[in-house]
Amino acid sequence: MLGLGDWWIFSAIVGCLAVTAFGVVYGICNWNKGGENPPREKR
Amino acid sequence: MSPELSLFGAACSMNTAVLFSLIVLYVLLIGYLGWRGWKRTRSGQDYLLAGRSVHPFVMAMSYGAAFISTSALVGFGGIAGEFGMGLMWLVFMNIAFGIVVAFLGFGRRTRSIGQNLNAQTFPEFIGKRFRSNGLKILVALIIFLFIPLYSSVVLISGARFLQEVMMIRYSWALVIFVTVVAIYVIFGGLKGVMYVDALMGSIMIFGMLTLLVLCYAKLGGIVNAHQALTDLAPLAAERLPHEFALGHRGWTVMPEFNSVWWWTLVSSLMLGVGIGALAQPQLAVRFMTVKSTRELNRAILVGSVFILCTAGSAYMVGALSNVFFFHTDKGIASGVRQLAIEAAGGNPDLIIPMFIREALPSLVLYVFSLTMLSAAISTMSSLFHVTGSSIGHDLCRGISGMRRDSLLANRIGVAFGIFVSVVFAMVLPPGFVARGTAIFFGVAAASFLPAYVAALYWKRATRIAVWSSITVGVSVSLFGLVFLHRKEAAGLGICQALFDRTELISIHPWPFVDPFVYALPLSILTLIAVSFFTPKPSEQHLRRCFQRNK
Repeated sequence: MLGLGDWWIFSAIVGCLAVTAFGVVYGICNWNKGGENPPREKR
Repeated sequence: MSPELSLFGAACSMNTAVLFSLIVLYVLLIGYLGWRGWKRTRSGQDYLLAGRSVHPFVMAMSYGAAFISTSALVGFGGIAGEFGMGLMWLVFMNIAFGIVVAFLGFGRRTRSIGQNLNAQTFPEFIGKRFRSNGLKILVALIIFLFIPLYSSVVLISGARFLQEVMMIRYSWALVIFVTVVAIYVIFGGLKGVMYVDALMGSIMIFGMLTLLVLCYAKLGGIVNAHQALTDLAPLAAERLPHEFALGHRGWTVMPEFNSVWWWTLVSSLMLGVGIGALAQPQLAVRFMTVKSTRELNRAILVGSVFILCTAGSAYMVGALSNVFFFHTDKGIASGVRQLAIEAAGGNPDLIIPMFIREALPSLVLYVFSLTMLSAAISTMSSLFHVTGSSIGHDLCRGISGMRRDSLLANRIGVAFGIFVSVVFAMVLPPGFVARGTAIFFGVAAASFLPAYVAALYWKRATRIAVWSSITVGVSVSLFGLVFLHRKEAAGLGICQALFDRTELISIHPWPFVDPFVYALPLSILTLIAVSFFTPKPSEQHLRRCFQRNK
Protein backbone atom coordinates (compact mmCIF):
# COMPACT_ATOMS: atom_id res chain seq x y z
CA MET A 1 0.00 0.00 0.00
CA LEU A 2 2.84 2.40 -0.83
CA GLY A 3 3.89 2.47 2.83
CA LEU A 4 0.56 3.91 3.98
CA GLY A 5 -1.02 2.66 7.22
CA ASP A 6 -4.68 2.60 6.24
CA TRP A 7 -6.78 1.42 3.30
CA TRP A 8 -8.87 4.59 3.56
CA ILE A 9 -5.88 6.83 2.92
CA PHE A 10 -4.64 4.54 0.16
CA SER A 11 -8.14 4.69 -1.38
CA ALA A 12 -8.14 8.50 -1.17
CA ILE A 13 -4.83 8.74 -3.04
CA VAL A 14 -5.86 6.15 -5.63
CA GLY A 15 -9.22 7.95 -5.92
CA CYS A 16 -7.46 11.28 -6.57
CA LEU A 17 -5.29 9.71 -9.27
CA ALA A 18 -8.25 7.83 -10.80
CA VAL A 19 -10.55 10.83 -10.99
CA THR A 20 -7.72 12.96 -12.44
CA ALA A 21 -7.04 10.21 -15.00
CA PHE A 22 -10.76 10.24 -15.85
CA GLY A 23 -10.59 14.01 -16.36
CA VAL A 24 -7.54 13.70 -18.61
CA VAL A 25 -8.97 10.83 -20.69
CA TYR A 26 -12.37 12.53 -20.96
CA GLY A 27 -10.73 15.78 -22.04
CA ILE A 28 -8.63 14.04 -24.71
CA CYS A 29 -11.50 11.88 -26.03
CA ASN A 30 -13.85 14.86 -26.26
CA TRP A 31 -11.24 17.43 -27.32
CA ASN A 32 -13.09 18.42 -30.47
CA LYS A 33 -16.64 17.50 -29.51
CA GLY A 34 -19.32 20.04 -28.67
CA GLY A 35 -17.99 22.85 -30.90
CA GLU A 36 -20.27 25.64 -32.04
CA ASN A 37 -19.64 25.22 -35.75
CA PRO A 38 -21.68 22.50 -37.48
CA PRO A 39 -19.61 19.66 -38.99
CA ARG A 40 -18.68 20.03 -42.67
CA GLU A 41 -20.75 18.01 -45.08
CA LYS A 42 -19.02 15.02 -46.62
CA ARG A 43 -18.56 15.26 -50.35
CA MET B 1 -7.07 29.28 10.16
CA SER B 2 -4.94 32.30 9.61
CA PRO B 3 -2.23 31.42 7.09
CA GLU B 4 -1.87 35.10 6.37
CA LEU B 5 0.21 35.50 9.48
CA SER B 6 2.53 32.64 8.86
CA LEU B 7 4.66 33.35 5.90
CA PHE B 8 7.22 35.79 7.19
CA GLY B 9 9.49 33.11 8.56
CA ALA B 10 10.08 31.84 5.05
CA ALA B 11 10.89 35.25 3.72
CA CYS B 12 13.67 35.98 6.18
CA SER B 13 16.34 33.77 4.61
CA MET B 14 15.81 35.13 1.10
CA ASN B 15 17.81 37.75 -0.73
CA THR B 16 15.39 40.68 -0.57
CA ALA B 17 16.83 42.38 -3.68
CA VAL B 18 16.34 39.27 -5.80
CA LEU B 19 12.82 38.71 -4.51
CA PHE B 20 11.96 42.40 -4.93
CA SER B 21 13.13 42.30 -8.56
CA LEU B 22 11.09 39.16 -9.16
CA ILE B 23 8.00 40.79 -7.67
CA VAL B 24 8.48 43.91 -9.81
CA LEU B 25 8.76 41.73 -12.93
CA TYR B 26 5.70 39.84 -11.78
CA VAL B 27 3.68 43.03 -11.25
CA LEU B 28 4.70 44.25 -14.72
CA LEU B 29 3.42 41.01 -16.21
CA ILE B 30 0.14 41.41 -14.32
CA GLY B 31 -0.07 44.99 -15.58
CA TYR B 32 0.46 43.84 -19.17
CA LEU B 33 -2.26 41.16 -18.91
CA GLY B 34 -4.63 43.63 -17.24
CA TRP B 35 -3.95 46.10 -20.06
CA ARG B 36 -4.76 43.39 -22.63
CA GLY B 37 -8.03 42.74 -20.80
CA TRP B 38 -8.81 46.47 -20.81
CA LYS B 39 -8.07 46.83 -24.54
CA ARG B 40 -10.46 43.99 -25.33
CA THR B 41 -13.28 45.13 -23.03
CA ARG B 42 -15.86 47.09 -25.00
CA SER B 43 -19.22 46.16 -23.48
CA GLY B 44 -20.91 44.99 -20.29
CA GLN B 45 -20.80 41.42 -21.60
CA ASP B 46 -17.03 41.72 -22.14
CA TYR B 47 -16.64 43.07 -18.63
CA LEU B 48 -18.84 40.50 -16.90
CA LEU B 49 -18.35 37.39 -19.04
CA ALA B 50 -15.15 38.08 -20.97
CA GLY B 51 -17.20 38.26 -24.18
CA ARG B 52 -18.23 34.55 -23.82
CA SER B 53 -15.21 33.54 -25.86
CA VAL B 54 -12.49 32.55 -23.40
CA HIS B 55 -9.87 29.96 -24.36
CA PRO B 56 -10.39 26.61 -22.51
CA PHE B 57 -6.88 26.70 -20.98
CA VAL B 58 -7.48 30.20 -19.63
CA MET B 59 -10.94 29.20 -18.36
CA ALA B 60 -9.72 26.06 -16.57
CA MET B 61 -6.65 27.70 -15.03
CA SER B 62 -8.75 30.66 -13.94
CA TYR B 63 -11.36 28.36 -12.39
CA GLY B 64 -8.67 26.41 -10.55
CA ALA B 65 -6.69 29.46 -9.45
CA ALA B 66 -9.85 31.14 -8.12
CA PHE B 67 -10.76 27.87 -6.37
CA ILE B 68 -7.41 27.23 -4.63
CA SER B 69 -6.34 30.12 -2.40
CA THR B 70 -3.43 30.69 -0.02
CA SER B 71 -5.59 29.23 2.75
CA ALA B 72 -5.91 25.97 0.83
CA LEU B 73 -2.16 25.66 0.19
CA VAL B 74 -0.62 26.90 3.44
CA GLY B 75 -3.54 26.61 5.88
CA PHE B 76 -4.88 23.20 4.92
CA GLY B 77 -1.35 21.98 4.14
CA GLY B 78 -0.50 22.82 7.76
CA ILE B 79 -3.59 20.98 8.99
CA ALA B 80 -2.35 17.93 7.06
CA GLY B 81 0.96 18.36 8.93
CA GLU B 82 -0.93 18.22 12.20
CA PHE B 83 -3.57 15.57 11.45
CA GLY B 84 -2.24 13.66 8.44
CA MET B 85 -3.27 12.50 5.00
CA GLY B 86 -7.01 12.20 5.71
CA LEU B 87 -7.19 15.54 3.89
CA MET B 88 -6.50 13.71 0.64
CA TRP B 89 -10.23 12.94 0.68
CA LEU B 90 -10.78 16.68 0.32
CA VAL B 91 -8.56 16.66 -2.78
CA PHE B 92 -10.63 13.77 -4.13
CA MET B 93 -13.86 15.69 -3.48
CA ASN B 94 -12.40 18.86 -5.03
CA ILE B 95 -11.52 17.03 -8.24
CA ALA B 96 -14.58 14.74 -8.38
CA PHE B 97 -17.19 17.38 -7.49
CA GLY B 98 -15.37 20.70 -7.95
CA ILE B 99 -14.15 19.78 -11.45
CA VAL B 100 -15.73 16.67 -13.00
CA VAL B 101 -19.30 17.01 -11.66
CA ALA B 102 -19.15 20.80 -11.89
CA PHE B 103 -18.00 20.89 -15.53
CA LEU B 104 -19.99 17.90 -16.80
CA GLY B 105 -23.14 18.28 -14.73
CA PHE B 106 -23.32 22.02 -14.15
CA GLY B 107 -21.05 23.72 -16.67
CA ARG B 108 -22.78 22.68 -19.87
CA ARG B 109 -26.28 23.60 -18.76
CA THR B 110 -25.17 26.80 -17.03
CA ARG B 111 -23.50 27.94 -20.25
CA SER B 112 -26.45 26.95 -22.41
CA ILE B 113 -29.26 28.31 -20.22
CA GLY B 114 -27.21 31.41 -19.39
CA GLN B 115 -26.82 32.12 -23.11
CA ASN B 116 -30.53 31.45 -23.83
CA LEU B 117 -31.55 33.93 -21.14
CA ASN B 118 -28.68 36.34 -21.75
CA ALA B 119 -27.65 36.09 -18.09
CA GLN B 120 -24.32 37.70 -17.26
CA THR B 121 -23.92 37.03 -13.55
CA PHE B 122 -24.88 34.26 -11.14
CA PRO B 123 -27.69 36.29 -9.45
CA GLU B 124 -29.03 37.23 -12.89
CA PHE B 125 -28.90 33.58 -13.96
CA ILE B 126 -31.07 32.51 -10.99
CA GLY B 127 -33.31 35.57 -11.34
CA LYS B 128 -33.96 35.10 -15.07
CA ARG B 129 -34.34 31.32 -14.82
CA PHE B 130 -37.13 31.76 -12.26
CA ARG B 131 -38.38 35.07 -13.68
CA SER B 132 -37.92 37.03 -10.49
CA ASN B 133 -36.11 40.33 -10.13
CA GLY B 134 -36.48 40.01 -6.35
CA LEU B 135 -34.72 36.65 -6.41
CA LYS B 136 -31.83 38.22 -8.32
CA ILE B 137 -31.58 40.95 -5.69
CA LEU B 138 -31.72 38.39 -2.84
CA VAL B 139 -28.87 36.29 -4.32
CA ALA B 140 -26.83 39.44 -5.02
CA LEU B 141 -27.39 40.63 -1.44
CA ILE B 142 -26.19 37.31 0.01
CA ILE B 143 -23.07 37.52 -2.17
CA PHE B 144 -22.48 41.14 -1.21
CA LEU B 145 -22.90 40.43 2.51
CA PHE B 146 -20.75 37.31 2.79
CA ILE B 147 -18.06 37.37 0.06
CA PRO B 148 -16.17 40.42 1.43
CA LEU B 149 -15.43 38.36 4.56
CA TYR B 150 -13.76 35.75 2.41
CA SER B 151 -11.98 38.20 0.10
CA SER B 152 -10.62 40.17 3.05
CA VAL B 153 -8.89 37.14 4.57
CA VAL B 154 -7.21 36.46 1.23
CA LEU B 155 -6.34 40.15 0.98
CA ILE B 156 -4.74 40.08 4.43
CA SER B 157 -2.70 37.01 3.45
CA GLY B 158 -1.25 38.79 0.42
CA ALA B 159 -0.59 42.03 2.32
CA ARG B 160 1.08 40.24 5.24
CA PHE B 161 3.31 38.42 2.82
CA LEU B 162 4.32 41.63 1.04
CA GLN B 163 4.90 43.28 4.43
CA GLU B 164 7.48 40.69 5.40
CA VAL B 165 9.10 40.24 2.02
CA MET B 166 9.46 43.95 1.21
CA MET B 167 9.92 44.96 4.87
CA ILE B 168 7.24 47.65 4.76
CA ARG B 169 4.35 48.53 7.05
CA TYR B 170 1.19 46.42 6.83
CA SER B 171 -0.97 49.40 5.81
CA TRP B 172 1.43 50.20 2.93
CA ALA B 173 1.51 46.56 1.90
CA LEU B 174 -2.30 46.56 1.87
CA VAL B 175 -2.38 49.71 -0.28
CA ILE B 176 0.16 48.33 -2.80
CA PHE B 177 -1.52 44.96 -3.00
CA VAL B 178 -5.02 46.40 -3.41
CA THR B 179 -3.86 48.97 -5.98
CA VAL B 180 -2.24 46.33 -8.20
CA VAL B 181 -5.27 44.03 -8.09
CA ALA B 182 -7.83 46.85 -8.23
CA ILE B 183 -6.37 48.36 -11.40
CA TYR B 184 -6.59 45.23 -13.47
CA VAL B 185 -9.93 44.07 -12.01
CA ILE B 186 -11.64 47.48 -12.39
CA PHE B 187 -10.31 48.21 -15.87
CA GLY B 188 -9.64 44.75 -17.27
CA GLY B 189 -12.94 43.21 -16.12
CA LEU B 190 -13.29 39.44 -16.26
CA LYS B 191 -10.93 39.28 -19.25
CA GLY B 192 -8.17 40.91 -17.23
CA VAL B 193 -8.96 38.69 -14.23
CA MET B 194 -8.93 35.47 -16.26
CA TYR B 195 -5.73 36.29 -18.18
CA VAL B 196 -3.94 37.03 -14.91
CA ASP B 197 -5.48 33.93 -13.29
CA ALA B 198 -4.08 31.76 -16.08
CA LEU B 199 -0.59 33.12 -15.37
CA MET B 200 -1.08 32.65 -11.61
CA GLY B 201 -2.40 29.12 -12.10
CA SER B 202 0.65 28.16 -14.19
CA ILE B 203 2.98 29.49 -11.49
CA MET B 204 1.01 27.61 -8.82
CA ILE B 205 1.26 24.27 -10.66
CA PHE B 206 5.00 24.70 -11.22
CA GLY B 207 5.64 25.82 -7.64
CA MET B 208 3.64 23.10 -5.91
CA LEU B 209 4.89 20.26 -8.15
CA THR B 210 8.47 21.37 -7.52
CA LEU B 211 7.73 21.28 -3.80
CA LEU B 212 6.31 17.73 -3.92
CA VAL B 213 9.10 16.27 -6.06
CA LEU B 214 11.83 17.82 -3.89
CA CYS B 215 10.05 16.66 -0.72
CA TYR B 216 9.97 13.01 -1.88
CA ALA B 217 13.59 13.25 -3.07
CA LYS B 218 14.63 14.61 0.32
CA LEU B 219 12.84 11.81 2.19
CA GLY B 220 14.20 8.91 0.13
CA GLY B 221 11.40 8.27 -2.35
CA ILE B 222 7.65 7.73 -2.22
CA VAL B 223 7.36 4.42 -0.35
CA ASN B 224 10.22 5.17 2.08
CA ALA B 225 8.73 8.55 2.93
CA HIS B 226 5.25 7.09 3.52
CA GLN B 227 6.64 4.20 5.58
CA ALA B 228 8.67 6.56 7.77
CA LEU B 229 5.51 8.62 8.36
CA THR B 230 3.49 5.49 9.18
CA ASP B 231 6.15 4.50 11.72
CA LEU B 232 5.63 7.79 13.58
CA ALA B 233 1.99 6.85 14.44
CA PRO B 234 2.69 5.81 18.09
CA LEU B 235 3.94 9.34 18.74
CA ALA B 236 0.45 10.77 18.18
CA ALA B 237 -0.70 9.53 21.59
CA GLU B 238 2.61 10.17 23.32
CA ARG B 239 3.50 13.63 22.01
CA LEU B 240 0.20 15.17 20.89
CA PRO B 241 -2.35 14.39 23.63
CA HIS B 242 -4.70 17.20 22.55
CA GLU B 243 -4.82 15.98 18.93
CA PHE B 244 -5.08 12.36 20.14
CA ALA B 245 -8.12 13.27 22.23
CA LEU B 246 -9.71 14.77 19.09
CA GLY B 247 -9.32 11.44 17.27
CA HIS B 248 -5.81 11.69 15.73
CA ARG B 249 -4.33 8.19 15.32
CA GLY B 250 -1.38 8.79 12.98
CA TRP B 251 -0.53 10.64 9.76
CA THR B 252 -1.28 7.84 7.29
CA VAL B 253 -4.54 6.62 8.83
CA MET B 254 -8.02 8.12 9.11
CA PRO B 255 -9.02 9.68 12.44
CA GLU B 256 -11.03 7.53 14.83
CA PHE B 257 -14.62 7.07 13.64
CA ASN B 258 -17.13 9.49 15.25
CA SER B 259 -14.36 11.51 16.93
CA VAL B 260 -14.27 15.32 16.82
CA TRP B 261 -11.62 15.40 14.09
CA TRP B 262 -13.48 12.72 12.07
CA TRP B 263 -16.61 14.90 12.06
CA THR B 264 -14.61 18.00 11.13
CA LEU B 265 -12.90 16.16 8.29
CA VAL B 266 -16.06 14.55 6.95
CA SER B 267 -18.74 17.19 7.55
CA SER B 268 -16.87 20.50 7.27
CA LEU B 269 -14.08 19.67 4.83
CA MET B 270 -15.17 16.76 2.63
CA LEU B 271 -18.85 17.69 2.41
CA GLY B 272 -18.87 21.42 3.22
CA VAL B 273 -15.89 22.50 1.15
CA GLY B 274 -15.94 19.59 -1.34
CA ILE B 275 -19.61 19.79 -2.35
CA GLY B 276 -19.92 23.46 -1.40
CA ALA B 277 -17.58 24.36 -4.26
CA LEU B 278 -20.41 23.54 -6.67
CA ALA B 279 -22.39 26.58 -5.53
CA GLN B 280 -19.66 29.23 -5.48
CA PRO B 281 -20.89 32.17 -7.60
CA GLN B 282 -17.37 33.23 -8.61
CA LEU B 283 -16.75 29.74 -10.05
CA ALA B 284 -20.21 29.19 -11.57
CA VAL B 285 -19.96 32.40 -13.60
CA ARG B 286 -16.91 31.01 -15.42
CA PHE B 287 -19.06 28.39 -17.15
CA MET B 288 -20.81 31.22 -18.98
CA THR B 289 -17.55 32.64 -20.34
CA VAL B 290 -16.87 29.95 -22.94
CA LYS B 291 -18.15 29.71 -26.49
CA SER B 292 -19.27 26.07 -26.52
CA THR B 293 -19.21 22.80 -24.59
CA ARG B 294 -16.01 21.87 -26.45
CA GLU B 295 -14.15 24.41 -24.30
CA LEU B 296 -15.64 22.83 -21.16
CA ASN B 297 -14.56 19.34 -22.28
CA ARG B 298 -11.01 20.59 -22.73
CA ALA B 299 -11.10 22.49 -19.44
CA ILE B 300 -11.89 19.28 -17.48
CA LEU B 301 -8.46 17.96 -18.41
CA VAL B 302 -6.61 21.08 -17.28
CA GLY B 303 -8.75 21.63 -14.16
CA SER B 304 -8.39 18.12 -12.71
CA VAL B 305 -4.61 18.12 -13.21
CA PHE B 306 -4.44 21.59 -11.65
CA ILE B 307 -6.22 20.59 -8.40
CA LEU B 308 -4.20 17.39 -8.05
CA CYS B 309 -0.91 19.23 -8.51
CA THR B 310 -1.68 22.18 -6.20
CA ALA B 311 -3.94 21.00 -3.35
CA GLY B 312 -2.71 17.39 -3.56
CA SER B 313 0.94 18.47 -3.31
CA ALA B 314 0.27 20.82 -0.39
CA TYR B 315 -1.47 18.17 1.72
CA MET B 316 1.08 15.43 0.99
CA VAL B 317 4.00 17.77 1.76
CA GLY B 318 2.28 18.99 4.94
CA ALA B 319 1.91 15.45 6.29
CA LEU B 320 5.40 14.33 5.17
CA SER B 321 7.06 17.32 6.83
CA ASN B 322 6.74 15.34 10.11
CA VAL B 323 9.33 12.84 8.83
CA PHE B 324 11.73 15.63 7.93
CA PHE B 325 11.46 17.45 11.25
CA PHE B 326 11.61 14.27 13.33
CA HIS B 327 14.54 12.67 11.57
CA THR B 328 16.81 15.64 10.93
CA ASP B 329 18.64 18.18 13.07
CA LYS B 330 16.21 20.88 11.91
CA GLY B 331 13.48 19.53 14.17
CA ILE B 332 15.59 19.20 17.30
CA ALA B 333 14.88 21.68 20.09
CA SER B 334 16.56 21.41 23.50
CA GLY B 335 17.93 18.01 22.48
CA VAL B 336 14.43 16.58 21.76
CA ARG B 337 13.28 15.48 18.32
CA GLN B 338 10.08 17.26 17.28
CA LEU B 339 7.09 16.61 15.08
CA ALA B 340 6.06 19.25 12.54
CA ILE B 341 3.42 20.88 14.73
CA GLU B 342 5.85 21.01 17.66
CA ALA B 343 8.57 22.55 15.49
CA ALA B 344 6.02 25.14 14.34
CA GLY B 345 5.30 26.12 17.94
CA GLY B 346 1.75 24.74 17.79
CA ASN B 347 0.74 26.92 14.81
CA PRO B 348 -0.18 24.68 11.83
CA ASP B 349 0.01 27.67 9.47
CA LEU B 350 3.78 27.77 9.97
CA ILE B 351 4.42 24.13 8.99
CA ILE B 352 4.61 24.53 5.18
CA PRO B 353 6.69 27.76 5.18
CA MET B 354 9.03 26.31 7.84
CA PHE B 355 9.49 23.09 5.90
CA ILE B 356 10.34 25.01 2.74
CA ARG B 357 12.78 27.25 4.58
CA GLU B 358 14.56 24.42 6.41
CA ALA B 359 14.44 21.59 3.90
CA LEU B 360 14.65 22.99 0.41
CA PRO B 361 17.14 25.05 -1.64
CA SER B 362 16.72 28.84 -1.43
CA LEU B 363 15.65 28.93 -5.09
CA VAL B 364 12.47 27.10 -4.06
CA LEU B 365 11.73 29.93 -1.63
CA TYR B 366 11.46 32.37 -4.54
CA VAL B 367 9.22 30.00 -6.48
CA PHE B 368 7.14 29.43 -3.36
CA SER B 369 6.86 33.17 -2.70
CA LEU B 370 5.48 33.78 -6.18
CA THR B 371 3.20 30.75 -5.79
CA MET B 372 1.71 32.18 -2.59
CA LEU B 373 1.24 35.62 -4.12
CA SER B 374 -0.40 34.01 -7.16
CA ALA B 375 -2.79 31.98 -5.02
CA ALA B 376 -3.81 35.11 -3.09
CA ILE B 377 -4.13 37.41 -6.12
CA SER B 378 -6.11 34.99 -8.29
CA THR B 379 -8.69 34.13 -5.63
CA MET B 380 -9.00 37.73 -4.49
CA SER B 381 -9.49 39.19 -7.96
CA SER B 382 -12.28 36.69 -8.70
CA LEU B 383 -14.01 37.55 -5.44
CA PHE B 384 -13.66 41.29 -6.09
CA HIS B 385 -15.13 40.84 -9.54
CA VAL B 386 -18.12 38.76 -8.41
CA THR B 387 -18.85 41.12 -5.50
CA GLY B 388 -18.58 44.15 -7.76
CA SER B 389 -20.79 42.69 -10.47
CA SER B 390 -23.39 41.81 -7.83
CA ILE B 391 -23.43 45.45 -6.76
CA GLY B 392 -23.05 47.21 -10.11
CA HIS B 393 -24.97 44.86 -12.38
CA ASP B 394 -27.51 43.08 -10.14
CA LEU B 395 -28.29 45.25 -7.13
CA CYS B 396 -28.17 48.69 -8.79
CA ARG B 397 -29.99 47.64 -11.95
CA GLY B 398 -32.38 45.40 -10.02
CA ILE B 399 -33.40 48.12 -7.57
CA SER B 400 -33.37 51.11 -9.96
CA GLY B 401 -35.07 49.23 -12.78
CA MET B 402 -32.40 50.38 -15.29
CA ARG B 403 -32.59 48.33 -18.49
CA ARG B 404 -29.28 49.25 -20.10
CA ASP B 405 -26.06 47.79 -18.79
CA SER B 406 -23.37 50.29 -17.98
CA LEU B 407 -19.65 49.54 -18.06
CA LEU B 408 -19.15 52.46 -15.68
CA ALA B 409 -21.71 51.12 -13.17
CA ASN B 410 -19.96 47.74 -13.20
CA ARG B 411 -16.58 49.37 -12.62
CA ILE B 412 -17.95 51.48 -9.78
CA GLY B 413 -19.51 48.31 -8.32
CA VAL B 414 -16.15 46.49 -8.41
CA ALA B 415 -14.42 49.51 -6.85
CA PHE B 416 -17.03 49.58 -4.08
CA GLY B 417 -16.64 45.83 -3.50
CA ILE B 418 -12.87 46.30 -3.17
CA PHE B 419 -13.42 49.19 -0.75
CA VAL B 420 -15.67 47.06 1.49
CA SER B 421 -13.11 44.22 1.48
CA VAL B 422 -10.31 46.65 2.42
CA VAL B 423 -12.39 48.00 5.30
CA PHE B 424 -12.94 44.42 6.55
CA ALA B 425 -9.23 43.69 6.15
CA MET B 426 -8.31 46.75 8.24
CA VAL B 427 -10.84 46.47 11.07
CA LEU B 428 -11.50 42.77 11.62
CA PRO B 429 -9.10 40.51 13.52
CA PRO B 430 -7.75 37.70 11.28
CA GLY B 431 -9.38 34.97 13.38
CA PHE B 432 -12.82 36.44 12.82
CA VAL B 433 -12.28 36.86 9.12
CA ALA B 434 -11.08 33.28 8.77
CA ARG B 435 -14.25 32.10 10.44
CA GLY B 436 -16.11 34.32 8.00
CA THR B 437 -14.62 32.24 5.17
CA ALA B 438 -16.06 29.05 6.63
CA ILE B 439 -19.37 30.81 7.17
CA PHE B 440 -19.52 31.94 3.52
CA PHE B 441 -18.79 28.46 2.14
CA GLY B 442 -21.50 26.89 4.29
CA VAL B 443 -24.11 29.57 3.67
CA ALA B 444 -23.47 29.70 -0.08
CA ALA B 445 -23.73 25.93 -0.42
CA ALA B 446 -26.87 25.49 1.70
CA SER B 447 -28.67 28.43 0.12
CA PHE B 448 -27.59 28.36 -3.55
CA LEU B 449 -26.96 24.68 -4.35
CA PRO B 450 -30.59 23.39 -4.37
CA ALA B 451 -31.75 26.44 -6.34
CA TYR B 452 -28.84 26.12 -8.78
CA VAL B 453 -29.44 22.38 -9.37
CA ALA B 454 -33.16 23.00 -9.81
CA ALA B 455 -32.44 25.82 -12.27
CA LEU B 456 -30.42 23.40 -14.38
CA TYR B 457 -32.36 20.17 -14.08
CA TRP B 458 -35.84 20.46 -12.55
CA LYS B 459 -38.47 22.15 -14.66
CA ARG B 460 -41.15 21.74 -11.96
CA ALA B 461 -39.23 24.00 -9.51
CA THR B 462 -41.14 27.24 -8.92
CA ARG B 463 -40.14 30.78 -8.10
CA ILE B 464 -41.74 30.69 -4.61
CA ALA B 465 -40.03 27.35 -3.88
CA VAL B 466 -36.62 28.78 -4.77
CA TRP B 467 -37.27 31.85 -2.60
CA SER B 468 -38.26 29.53 0.29
CA SER B 469 -35.29 27.21 -0.26
CA ILE B 470 -32.73 30.04 -0.27
CA THR B 471 -34.35 31.62 2.81
CA VAL B 472 -34.34 28.28 4.70
CA GLY B 473 -30.73 27.58 3.63
CA VAL B 474 -29.47 30.95 4.87
CA SER B 475 -31.55 30.92 8.08
CA VAL B 476 -30.70 27.36 9.15
CA SER B 477 -27.00 27.86 8.33
CA LEU B 478 -26.85 31.05 10.39
CA PHE B 479 -28.82 29.45 13.24
CA GLY B 480 -26.42 26.49 13.25
CA LEU B 481 -23.38 28.76 13.23
CA VAL B 482 -24.68 31.02 16.00
CA PHE B 483 -26.26 28.41 18.29
CA LEU B 484 -25.05 24.88 17.43
CA HIS B 485 -21.58 24.59 15.85
CA ARG B 486 -19.12 25.10 18.73
CA LYS B 487 -16.30 26.71 16.77
CA GLU B 488 -18.38 29.62 15.48
CA ALA B 489 -20.89 29.74 18.36
CA ALA B 490 -18.07 30.14 20.89
CA GLY B 491 -16.33 32.74 18.72
CA LEU B 492 -19.45 34.85 18.20
CA GLY B 493 -20.60 34.52 21.83
CA ILE B 494 -24.29 35.22 21.07
CA CYS B 495 -25.46 31.84 22.42
CA GLN B 496 -23.38 32.39 25.55
CA ALA B 497 -24.91 35.82 26.08
CA LEU B 498 -28.49 34.66 25.52
CA PHE B 499 -28.52 31.18 27.09
CA ASP B 500 -25.37 31.16 29.22
CA ARG B 501 -23.90 28.18 27.35
CA THR B 502 -21.51 27.81 24.42
CA GLU B 503 -23.97 25.88 22.22
CA LEU B 504 -27.60 24.80 22.57
CA ILE B 505 -27.01 21.04 22.08
CA SER B 506 -23.89 19.68 23.74
CA ILE B 507 -24.51 15.98 23.02
CA HIS B 508 -21.75 14.50 20.83
CA PRO B 509 -21.39 14.88 17.86
CA TRP B 510 -23.72 17.88 17.34
CA PRO B 511 -21.28 20.64 18.40
CA PHE B 512 -18.89 19.39 15.70
CA VAL B 513 -21.33 18.69 12.85
CA ASP B 514 -21.09 21.43 10.24
CA PRO B 515 -24.42 23.31 9.81
CA PHE B 516 -24.15 22.56 6.09
CA VAL B 517 -24.99 18.89 6.87
CA TYR B 518 -28.51 19.73 8.07
CA ALA B 519 -29.07 23.08 6.32
CA LEU B 520 -28.63 21.60 2.82
CA PRO B 521 -31.17 18.73 3.21
CA LEU B 522 -33.68 21.14 4.75
CA SER B 523 -33.16 23.57 1.88
CA ILE B 524 -33.66 20.73 -0.64
CA LEU B 525 -36.82 19.44 1.11
CA THR B 526 -38.25 22.96 1.18
CA LEU B 527 -37.63 23.38 -2.54
CA ILE B 528 -39.33 20.09 -3.41
CA ALA B 529 -42.29 20.47 -1.03
CA VAL B 530 -43.10 24.08 -1.94
CA SER B 531 -42.75 23.37 -5.68
CA PHE B 532 -45.53 20.78 -5.52
CA PHE B 533 -47.87 23.19 -3.74
CA THR B 534 -47.36 26.15 -6.06
CA PRO B 535 -48.37 26.68 -9.71
CA LYS B 536 -46.14 25.21 -12.42
CA PRO B 537 -43.81 27.58 -14.31
CA SER B 538 -44.89 28.63 -17.79
CA GLU B 539 -44.15 26.09 -20.53
CA GLN B 540 -43.13 28.85 -22.92
CA HIS B 541 -40.50 30.15 -20.50
CA LEU B 542 -39.16 26.65 -19.89
CA ARG B 543 -38.86 26.04 -23.64
CA ARG B 544 -36.84 29.23 -23.92
CA CYS B 545 -34.56 28.19 -21.04
CA PHE B 546 -33.89 24.65 -22.23
CA GLN B 547 -34.04 25.06 -26.00
CA ARG B 548 -30.43 23.93 -26.51
CA ASN B 549 -30.65 21.06 -24.04
CA LYS B 550 -33.05 18.83 -25.90
